[in-house]
Amino acid sequence: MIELGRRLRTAQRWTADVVIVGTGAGGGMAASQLARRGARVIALEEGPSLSARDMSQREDEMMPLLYQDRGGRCTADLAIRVIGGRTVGGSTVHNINLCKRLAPEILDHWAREHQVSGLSEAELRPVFESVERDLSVSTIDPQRRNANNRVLQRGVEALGWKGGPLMHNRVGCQGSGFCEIGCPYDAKQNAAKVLIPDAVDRGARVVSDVRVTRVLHDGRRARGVVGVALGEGGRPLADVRVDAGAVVLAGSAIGSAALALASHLPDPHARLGRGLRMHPGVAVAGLFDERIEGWRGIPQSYECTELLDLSPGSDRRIWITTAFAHPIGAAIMLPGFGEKHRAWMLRYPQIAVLTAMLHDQTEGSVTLARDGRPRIEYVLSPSDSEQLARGVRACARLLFAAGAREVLVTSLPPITLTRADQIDAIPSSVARPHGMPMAAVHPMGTLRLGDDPRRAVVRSSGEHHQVQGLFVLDGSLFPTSIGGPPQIGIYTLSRHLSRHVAARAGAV
Amino acid sequence: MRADRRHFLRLTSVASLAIGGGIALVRGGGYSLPPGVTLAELAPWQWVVFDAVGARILAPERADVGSFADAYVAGLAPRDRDDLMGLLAYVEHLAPLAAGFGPRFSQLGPEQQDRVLEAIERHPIGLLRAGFQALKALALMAHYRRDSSFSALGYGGPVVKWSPR
Repeated sequence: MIELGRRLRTAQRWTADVVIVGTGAGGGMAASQLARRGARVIALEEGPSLSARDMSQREDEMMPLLYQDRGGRCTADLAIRVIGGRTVGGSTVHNINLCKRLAPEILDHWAREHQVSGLSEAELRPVFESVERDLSVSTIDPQRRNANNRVLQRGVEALGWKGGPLMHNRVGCQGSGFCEIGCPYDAKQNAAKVLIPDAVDRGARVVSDVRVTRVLHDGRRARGVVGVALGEGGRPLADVRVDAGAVVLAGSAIGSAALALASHLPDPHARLGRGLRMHPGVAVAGLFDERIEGWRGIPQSYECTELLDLSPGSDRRIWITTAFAHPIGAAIMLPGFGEKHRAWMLRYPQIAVLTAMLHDQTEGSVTLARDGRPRIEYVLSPSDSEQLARGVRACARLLFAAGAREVLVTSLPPITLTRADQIDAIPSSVARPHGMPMAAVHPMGTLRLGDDPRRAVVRSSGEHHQVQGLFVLDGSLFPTSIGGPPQIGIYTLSRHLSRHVAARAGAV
Repeated sequence: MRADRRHFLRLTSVASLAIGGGIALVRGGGYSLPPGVTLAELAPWQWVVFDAVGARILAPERADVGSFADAYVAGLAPRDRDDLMGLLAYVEHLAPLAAGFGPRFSQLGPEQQDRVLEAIERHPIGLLRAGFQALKALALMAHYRRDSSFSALGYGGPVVKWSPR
């Protein structure tokens, strides 16, 4: 049973072997693994505890419940919307369940260039296998590929490009297409469904509606955390303190970095919050004669990897897949207003949408704003903007190859193409900040992993270089962009590194 | 153009309110709400501007954007709310002047309002373009959240028939 922080009315002081901040892929896995090792675990989640019965399939109701800042979190310059979860289960509750292992090229690069040890592909392979087994990962059945994904497949095949099916962690999927706003059928085999209940069954306490505001430490040793239980509208209800020998930060690359900064952790080499990557992406729409009805079915089941080479120094850093939205999301993406916008919306069922996501080299940062909230600085470098522009052109090429009669680049002003030979005229400037709507769903890298304390915040064990007993087990760890959906990488690193937390906490 | 959004919007807001206040003094005329509208968070002028912007974003459709915004801003963090209100002041007072119109936005005709909004949508300052997108998103949310908007799109809407508990 998950305890509800919103029911607390008096100050609380609890003790545990390990306190975990965040309950997404990293925190959920850590809670389960540590409870299995016999540690006394308390996991705190800022967001609410929701069940399948709370998922109403309505954008306006679910966005404020599932997403940080009601879905409106942005970079400081407002150029990129940054999506993150805030509910028990974290972003695994609203993600699209794509499952990819960390690529061997990425892990090799981390070992060579970032002094990451013990995380080679060979060492992680059995952990990936365990994670995939526990989360029921499988290839998405081609029979379940919806029309939007068939458009992408058709484009890939017509152009002779590289592409293929994606893998997911769903069981009992009804194909309703509302994954991004929570699954009312409980088909997602995610942290909320698989790991948190397992942790609770093994004695862990999981408490929702508690915002952790500071890690307790003396500069050399972590002692616990303090926070506040939140009521309706974020109203503070009661102070919460957890004394623990080990602290795990697992509140995402944004939240964990902000908490580290707010806690004034030792930072002799000014690394806290630096190195933010986030896979910014843009969408390109194609208008078809037939009905696509992209809102139906599994939203993403096919990918194009023609422009994706994860080798260091590669100039092909674009991952392409589908992106479709329900009416509010689609309406926001489509250009203009009034009659012109309405004309696009009336063609909504005939629109297919592809997204180009950047394997980014740009390094942003998380700092603290004066009100204590995270401030995200991230301005695309010229070479990354150029890559994204290539991605826009590639999406347009795929859509025409699949039979689109019109392609819409949602830049400001919008670009409408009616022939494939117009694609090369799309200027690189479309993908500059504020050139077109951008979203980033994979923040990472703000509390980096590596054995060199001058370059990394935590050791290869996940433990902070200066503060014993303080661990990071979320996407903050990644020293670079990973070029694909991060959940399996986060689950796997958390599972693999939890043994170090257990050892520090005195568990088996 | 890069800038700290809060600082920028605050400056914009103060300037807009100062200039707008001057204009209001000269021309008189306050803001009145339609009968039956009660506000929890917004000032009347804010409701009027949200409603006027929403009417042009959604034309020819209509939605009660002002009242939707009144409920929406209640859930925003103070910093975000300040940003939004600063932007609203810009739209009402400064943007019409920049587009060559004397009256405030809510007193312009539909075609003039469209010209003002187009100018913000394509403004050379990225922050203002982003601000336009925020207002547009709010208006679209007010409209496309309603089941009555779905059929025109051929969209079936939610399959389940419940709300979060």
